[in-house]
Amino acid sequence: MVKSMSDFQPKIIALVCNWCTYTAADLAGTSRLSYPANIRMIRMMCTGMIDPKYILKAFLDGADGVFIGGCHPGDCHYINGNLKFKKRMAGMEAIIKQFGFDENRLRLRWIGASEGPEFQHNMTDFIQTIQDMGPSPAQGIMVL
Amino acid sequence: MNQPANILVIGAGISGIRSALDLAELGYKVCLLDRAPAMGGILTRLDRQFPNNHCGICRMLPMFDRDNSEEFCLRKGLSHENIEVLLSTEVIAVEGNPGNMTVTAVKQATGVDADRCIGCQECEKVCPVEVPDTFNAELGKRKAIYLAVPYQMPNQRVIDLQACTRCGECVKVCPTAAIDLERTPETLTFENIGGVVLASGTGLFNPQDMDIYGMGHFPNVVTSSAFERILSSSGPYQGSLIRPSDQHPPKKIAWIQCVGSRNPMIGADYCSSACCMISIKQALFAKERLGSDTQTTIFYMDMRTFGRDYQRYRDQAEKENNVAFVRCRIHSIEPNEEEGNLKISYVDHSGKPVNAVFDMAVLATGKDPLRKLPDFAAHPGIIATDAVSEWMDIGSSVVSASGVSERLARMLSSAGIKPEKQATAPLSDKVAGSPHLQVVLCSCNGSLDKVIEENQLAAELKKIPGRIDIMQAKSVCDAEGLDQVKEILLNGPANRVLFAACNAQVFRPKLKQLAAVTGIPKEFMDVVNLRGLTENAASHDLLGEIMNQLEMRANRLFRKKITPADVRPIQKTALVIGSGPAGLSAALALAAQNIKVVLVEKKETIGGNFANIHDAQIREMIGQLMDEAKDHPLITMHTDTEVINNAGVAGQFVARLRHANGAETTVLHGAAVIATGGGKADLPADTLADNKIISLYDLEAELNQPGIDAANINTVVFMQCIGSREEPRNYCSRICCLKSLKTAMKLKELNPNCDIYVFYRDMMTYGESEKFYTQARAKGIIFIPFEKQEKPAIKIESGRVLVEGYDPVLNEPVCIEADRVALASGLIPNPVDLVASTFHVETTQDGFIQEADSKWRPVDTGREGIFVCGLARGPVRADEAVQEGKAAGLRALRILARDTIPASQHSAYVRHAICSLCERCIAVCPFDARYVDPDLGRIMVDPVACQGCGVCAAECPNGATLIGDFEEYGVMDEIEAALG
Amino acid sequence: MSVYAMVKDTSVTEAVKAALTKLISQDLVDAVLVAAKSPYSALPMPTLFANAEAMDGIDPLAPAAPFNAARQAATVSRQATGKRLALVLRPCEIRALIELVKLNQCTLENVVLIGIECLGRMENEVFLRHAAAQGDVTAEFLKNTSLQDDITRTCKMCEQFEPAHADIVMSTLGMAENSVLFASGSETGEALLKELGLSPAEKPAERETVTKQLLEKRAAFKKEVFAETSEKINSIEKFEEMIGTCLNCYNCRQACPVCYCKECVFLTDVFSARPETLLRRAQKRGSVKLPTDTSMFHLTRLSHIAHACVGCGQCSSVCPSNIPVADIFTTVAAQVQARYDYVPGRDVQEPIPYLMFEEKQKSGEPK
Ligand code: SF4
Ligand code: SF4
Ligand code: FES
Repeated sequence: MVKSMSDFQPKIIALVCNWCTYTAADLAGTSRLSYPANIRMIRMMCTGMIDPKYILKAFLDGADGVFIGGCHPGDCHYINGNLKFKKRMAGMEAIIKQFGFDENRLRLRWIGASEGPEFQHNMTDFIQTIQDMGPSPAQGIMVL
Repeated sequence: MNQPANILVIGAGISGIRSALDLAELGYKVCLLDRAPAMGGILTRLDRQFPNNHCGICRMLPMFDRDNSEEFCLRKGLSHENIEVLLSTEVIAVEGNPGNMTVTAVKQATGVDADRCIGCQECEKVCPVEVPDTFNAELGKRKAIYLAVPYQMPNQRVIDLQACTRCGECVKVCPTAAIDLERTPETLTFENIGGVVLASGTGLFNPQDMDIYGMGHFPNVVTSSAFERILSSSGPYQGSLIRPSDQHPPKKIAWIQCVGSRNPMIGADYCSSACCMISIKQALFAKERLGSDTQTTIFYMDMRTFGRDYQRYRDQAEKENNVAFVRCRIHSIEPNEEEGNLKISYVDHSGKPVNAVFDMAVLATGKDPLRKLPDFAAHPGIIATDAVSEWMDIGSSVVSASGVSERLARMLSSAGIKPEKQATAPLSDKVAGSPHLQVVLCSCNGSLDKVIEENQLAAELKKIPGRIDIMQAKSVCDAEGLDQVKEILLNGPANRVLFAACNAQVFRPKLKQLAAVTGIPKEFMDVVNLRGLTENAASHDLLGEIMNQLEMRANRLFRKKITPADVRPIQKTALVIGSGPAGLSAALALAAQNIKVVLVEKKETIGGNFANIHDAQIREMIGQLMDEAKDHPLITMHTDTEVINNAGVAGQFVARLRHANGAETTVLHGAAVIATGGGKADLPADTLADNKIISLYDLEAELNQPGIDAANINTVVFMQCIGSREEPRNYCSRICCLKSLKTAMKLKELNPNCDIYVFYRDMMTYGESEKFYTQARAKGIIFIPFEKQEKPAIKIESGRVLVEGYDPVLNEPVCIEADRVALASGLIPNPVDLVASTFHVETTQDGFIQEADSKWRPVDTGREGIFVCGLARGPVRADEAVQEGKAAGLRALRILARDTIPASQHSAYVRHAICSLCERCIAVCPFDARYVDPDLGRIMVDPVACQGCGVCAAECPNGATLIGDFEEYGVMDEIEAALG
Repeated sequence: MSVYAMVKDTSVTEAVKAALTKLISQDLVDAVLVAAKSPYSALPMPTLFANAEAMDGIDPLAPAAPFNAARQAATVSRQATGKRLALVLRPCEIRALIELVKLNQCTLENVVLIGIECLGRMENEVFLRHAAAQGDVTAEFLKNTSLQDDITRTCKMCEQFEPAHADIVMSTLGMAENSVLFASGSETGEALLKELGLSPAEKPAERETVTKQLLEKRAAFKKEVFAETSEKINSIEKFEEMIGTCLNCYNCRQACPVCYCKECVFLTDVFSARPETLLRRAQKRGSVKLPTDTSMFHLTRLSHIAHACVGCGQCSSVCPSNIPVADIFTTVAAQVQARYDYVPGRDVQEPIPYLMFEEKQKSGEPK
């Protein structure tokens, strides 16, 4: 478990696909591979289901980071939803960046069902990244 | 499950799961047993499969009527309304006749009460006994109380009672008093069983006793299944590819093929079929993980890359990834001076003895020759999958399992056993009314009291907007506690339930139970893992975390609605295209279940290549199928006919047939099976013209002429892989090696003095056909290998036909004057362009029909309701084509046996009033589930094909299409709640 | 190679009229959609003509465009009718129309696109002021560069003032007074020009220099606006300041030619917050401004159309709160379009970026 010196406890939304990444998350759980609790995991059936609105909503509502986890290319239960999302993701990065959110606050990773350790590692690493970056610029701002 | 099972499936591995799902999808109640404490067999130990290095296990799950099953990775387990899974259970006796059998089984005590274990892992922490970790091929350690498969959900522990010392430490710490070390096995009796599928697998050869390999003595000699675990992130080294002795990454790895296979001395006169490809895959992964400079060498006798896309896989490994292939049977593995390294000695291509040093050796093991079938295996009413007698790759196991399901279904329907029709009761007014949430705070026998009290959860919960009632229970794991909840739900106003308790997966069966009693569907119930949250002590703001979760779930429940399913009536007719063994067996499989079949054949006669088949057994098999089909009242045949158009969706298609005379017929059907077949490939254009140089097919025909005199045929050369296994036809034709062997033996029979030479690249006598190869060698037939780039040359010199090659055994050139040279020209598919475009299915680069997934959905196409089998899909033997036909027939039957198919709750729907008809959703739908209805001018969703992936909804900018259960407003609510 | 023709008349507007009326009178098309004044206002509105005599008020070169007429063009070409249509459009309108074709909102079958070389448009009230002062604003505008400084801010940064994909292009830059250059942009256009019987001409040499100068000026201004805007929105707080006066009237989305939804998602239940939700938000944050989801609206709209924004500036023009919506949209759009290497209106065959993704990786893969 990563213990940061700072008191900043980032709020992180993780949108993970039901098939691979969610299995890896469960596996991390049952294998006692712990990761910081600040991750709010929301299960999606597939990364291809992730609407740009979800990412915007999360950032505008004060998320310090948004993590998206899906099956490796070729493994998607719905054939290629992950690749479709990856395409959408490029535009989203460009947009949030323009509004002062570091692009790295949005992260997409492929995590396979057996990759419990990778899940754990990705979570701790992402939290660390966000912790180093500090709170989201939307934090404490009245967002209309 | 309300009704008792009609079918038992023994073995919950790949075949067992496939078969159980097939039968469950037909509506039968199935009990799936396994003697292991977890299901999945090898499936849970494999991460990725050849020939695409992907996973895809989940693709085995039902793709329509999905509300009957839960959708999650099969590594976690299987949950289907019609399937009951019984683990640690072994069948010991079977009595009675098909249709009415009595089966006795023993359920081993696991020491842990599954109804109570919440997977908290406290016991594992205190258990003092460590034993080798069986899940990880004994490469690590586990406790005596353990989780059999780390993915398993619910993650309930079991006790290895052999290792357990009965110290009782676990009993003391278990918060739910789930452990009882004194439990004894239970005998279960299943009555009124219609039939039994035996799918217990072949076991895995243990090379421990074979001295030459040093397995067990040298830690860096591992089996291929252990290597699979080493590669896995859930394996002993968390996915780092390191060798056992010193945990360093190996730089040189050797794979030794045929360990325990193709070895008559140990009773293994068979080929295990899949090991060659597994080794190639593992070598590729080793390169990927450790870098391309890692040396990977495969020691083999024949690389049996006989699957449709396998040769290209091998070629790529060899050429692009520099995997080395060395043809030899190694002499031995011995330790090298350097710590842990291994010296492998063998004789190379030129006959020179070589000692090569490797850091690690992987033994490609396959079927266990010692494995015996259980005594009851031959009992009538028990149908075994091929995978109990032969080791085979996943795709073949799946085909075989579906073939068995077909036979079982046929047996049941002739015994008059029909699947129960399930009627779903409409929601009561209370349930359908506006949401009212009951929150149940479970103190888990007091252990969560502190959290609940200190955080004043009850008071906090009241702050969540919406109608909420709150109750506290001591333990819902106890009947008493659960009754209390039932009471409140039955008599109170609430129509949604949220538990704050423990692991949601453990809770699932309880929710089902509650749903049955209260009439509140389980979709209106949810669980928050209060215990899990509390344990994660790292949390700085426990209350925040808990409330977050509760609010997220509460919101979801408030929003959740159940829409009455849109049902589609099914056109109970099947269209089968092609009348070879595959098509005929598909047609007969369907007709046997009372489905009308329209059989379309392009040629004048049915039977496919029947006229060219000489093998008596195969002729008889196909002949029988032809006769049965001709006589079957439910099968209508159209010869000289082609399908020129097909429109509609699964369950409701309209096809147009055109007959030779130009007339057209319209057929309304619910599913189609493509079995357009293929046939012999012509000899290459540059083949020398001489009546002694003929195709293998012609030699076979010649020898099968009645009264043939073979006395003048004294020397015959067979040449394999003519045109096959090199571009542009870079696939193994699969039938030729065996055909050459059989023809050669026939020749020996006719003329025992005949000298026979077989020039081959790799003898593809996979599975049981290895026996023919052994026999042929025993008969003195000479086998001479050659490489693709050094083909033997055929010459004609003053009327004599000469074959010049190189014999690596003699290490010198050979020149044979032949009376016949038989060229194995292989197989090609019949042209599929028309059928592919008519049915909107894809084709491979070699002109076969592309299946949906070669491993997990081998006879499905990318379009629901269209299936493919036999030579249209790839080279197969006739018996395999029959098997595929049955499997395809069964897949079609899942649709055709129903009267209607309901849309699943979790699927796409369109709000036409705000739809702009931009059709972006159609473009992105991966299952072709969306289309424009030209009459209505609307976007339609085919509820059978739709899988609820949601890519359409994400693509649709204004929510004109939404996904049931994942409506955008709900997800955004959840995000909002999560962020507090 | 294009063919050229020149039409000279008493004014450019008359010159254009002379040519376009012939389209109908010679039965070359069944109808023409072109901006025209009405008896009631000097402001030219997209108008569909089926009769040459009625075309008196047409004034497509006027520096005014109350709409991006792609929407109207899409309305008349929603589906093929068997009739041949000529659509007289500005470059940004053509680009938007092409995006709408990709979105299945209309078809170019049997459509002749007549593009205008566009020196910009004025905001409606500016145009009307000039019209009140001096009658033929079009003529004045095309020769008077100081009047040309009155065009909208977005037009001043537009580098794509020459229409692409038009069958016929009408231009005035570098032309003699009262003359309009007609150039063909396609075989259809070439044939039409022939049939119209206009006098063939050479492309005037000075056009190139004038065009280049204008382009440079525009590019420089665009750079300035992008830099300025990027600076102004580079924190969510600053962005909130910019949109602080937004009324959630959704005029910008109504005016946007590529916002093609029949009903905006912000008007649907996806965003109609339940009272519970609003209360909860208020509880959590202390207050909620209503209507809510204002920044969500702008950002979501960006996520929907940034790849397709044609930079017409209509969103700014219609904003009652004078929010420089187009500054924001064009700035962000430039980034998104660069990432996708996508240019709206570039090619009608080119699918929108979201429909193009890495396809199957290896053989043996399901489609
Ligand atoms: S894209 Fe939509 S219609 Fe197609 S399968 Fe996915 S959810 Fe169903
Ligand atoms: S966003 Fe504004 S500038 Fe861009 S196309 Fe739409 S209206 Fe025009
Ligand atoms: S199912 Fe996991 S990304 Fe599509």
